[in-house]
Amino acid sequence: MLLKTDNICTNYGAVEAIRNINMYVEEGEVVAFIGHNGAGKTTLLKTISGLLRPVKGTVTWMGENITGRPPEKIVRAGISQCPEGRQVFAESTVYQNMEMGAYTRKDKQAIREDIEKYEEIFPILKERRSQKAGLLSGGEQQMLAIARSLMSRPKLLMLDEPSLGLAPVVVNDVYDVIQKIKQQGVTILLVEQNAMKALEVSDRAYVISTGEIALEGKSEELLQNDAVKKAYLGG
Amino acid sequence: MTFASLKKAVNARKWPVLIVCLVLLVAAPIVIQHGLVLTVMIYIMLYSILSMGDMVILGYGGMLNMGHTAFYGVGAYVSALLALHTDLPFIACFLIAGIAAAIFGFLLSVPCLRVSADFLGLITLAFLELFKAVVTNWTAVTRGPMGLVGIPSASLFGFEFNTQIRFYYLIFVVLILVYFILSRMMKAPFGRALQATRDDEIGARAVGIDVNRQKVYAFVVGAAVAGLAGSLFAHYVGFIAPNSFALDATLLITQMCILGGLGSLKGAIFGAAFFTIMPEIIRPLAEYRVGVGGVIMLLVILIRPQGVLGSRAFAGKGGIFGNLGRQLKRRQAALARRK
Repeated sequence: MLLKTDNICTNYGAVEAIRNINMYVEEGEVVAFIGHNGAGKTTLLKTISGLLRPVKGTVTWMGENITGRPPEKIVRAGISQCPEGRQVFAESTVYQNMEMGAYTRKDKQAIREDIEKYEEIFPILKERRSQKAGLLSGGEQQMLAIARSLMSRPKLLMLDEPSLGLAPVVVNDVYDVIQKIKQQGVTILLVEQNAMKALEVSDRAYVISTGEIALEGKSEELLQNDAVKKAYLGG
Repeated sequence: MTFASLKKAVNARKWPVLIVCLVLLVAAPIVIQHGLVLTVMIYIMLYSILSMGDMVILGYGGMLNMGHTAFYGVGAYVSALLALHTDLPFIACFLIAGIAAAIFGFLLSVPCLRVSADFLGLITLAFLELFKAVVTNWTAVTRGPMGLVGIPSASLFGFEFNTQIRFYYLIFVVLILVYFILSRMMKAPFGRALQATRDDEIGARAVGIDVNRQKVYAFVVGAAVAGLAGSLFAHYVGFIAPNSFALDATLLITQMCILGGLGSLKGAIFGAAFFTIMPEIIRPLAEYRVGVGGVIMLLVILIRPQGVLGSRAFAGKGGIFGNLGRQLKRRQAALARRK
């Protein structure tokens, strides 16, 4: 088991954001977290990536307790988060952004090869190589953000709302790319409001509601589940 | 000829331009032989070193540092006191001054990690006032407002930099060294990580940058450079007093960085040259000179918010011309729709 959380509780001040979250991710899996706005999805990701400290519970990564470690150590341990709202370095070029993604690595030759590899998966990034990242469209920035998080060669890629604020056509492009990354054997933890998309691409999923896990199961089963259909898939 | 085409032309002939500039600067003191001009050139270089230090913190780190002259002062006082009371050679005083300022930079950066830009400005401002209060009142060591007198001139291996021309070459070499070290540093992983932290803190954390560490390093490096400049100043003038390290000087350095362009070491040098030469040229205006600096700053912010050589990170929406351009476009679009 790659990642496991036991009874994670995280608060914002006095407000409980997530309660008793038990989840796990196996190697090679794509796991989705779906739920409405404010359900606690991003909080869970931030707790795993070390941006927030849980008040209770443990995060176990490859058999080791990593609860409360600072984010830069967690990136080095092999968990890479692609943050919500993309957060690319607007003033650097696309290429420099990808290089920054490899900040934790020292092997220059391999970094260059990796950039070439991802430029093949994301052709638009090759085209825009020397353009400032801030001038890219939302969808292109999302591609760049994903490529940048892959540059640290993570064992687990955590994607936070990759479809946020994108046009429906562009959302499809982004999910095509996620599909491609999945085929490369990267383990992905996906957090998404767009339940349909997330369930289509993932193997397993958790439905999170007001800070607690309401449902969990195989994605294809959840797609057929009446309660899920009603609440998240629009009938 | 627009500014962009000029910049392009210079960039295309980087090495020839650089060599010509270097030759001119090396030959200048021998050719000119004019006291005032040499003094102005020395001050340009002194302020260039100072504002390059601030550029690391303010321009590359995006942190509003109002305490820069305190680091400068720490360097000046440490170097002067060592030279007056010990037998250490100049080079040791000079380096220790840099280290002492760096230590203060480290100490000051720690509370600064917890606050956002505007409060950071206040904390660093408080540090500057604190420094001034200490050097003014600790008369046993600093002689308070009377200042330290008789600081020996700089010397290396028995060679004394006791004339203007000699000191000119000393500070010129230091300037070049500082410039090359800092420009390497800003292109190295540290500088890249620092700029990434400035541009997007969340993004920086997501790629595994320890953002606090970059900020601390920026303060340490910037303060150390200011400390070195302070040491040079003390040994050049031979006299230092608390007044030399007041808020005005911090504001002047900040102005230099903003005019020259945040995020550009060349900009720091340009700004230093501009704000050192300008008051000399408009000297006939007497007391109105203060206002001229203000008007120039306003114009820069309106017309070219990123400064003359600045990084686009600070351009915002392109200042007044950007606004005008957008407004024109909107009107044209409205007119087109009406037709």
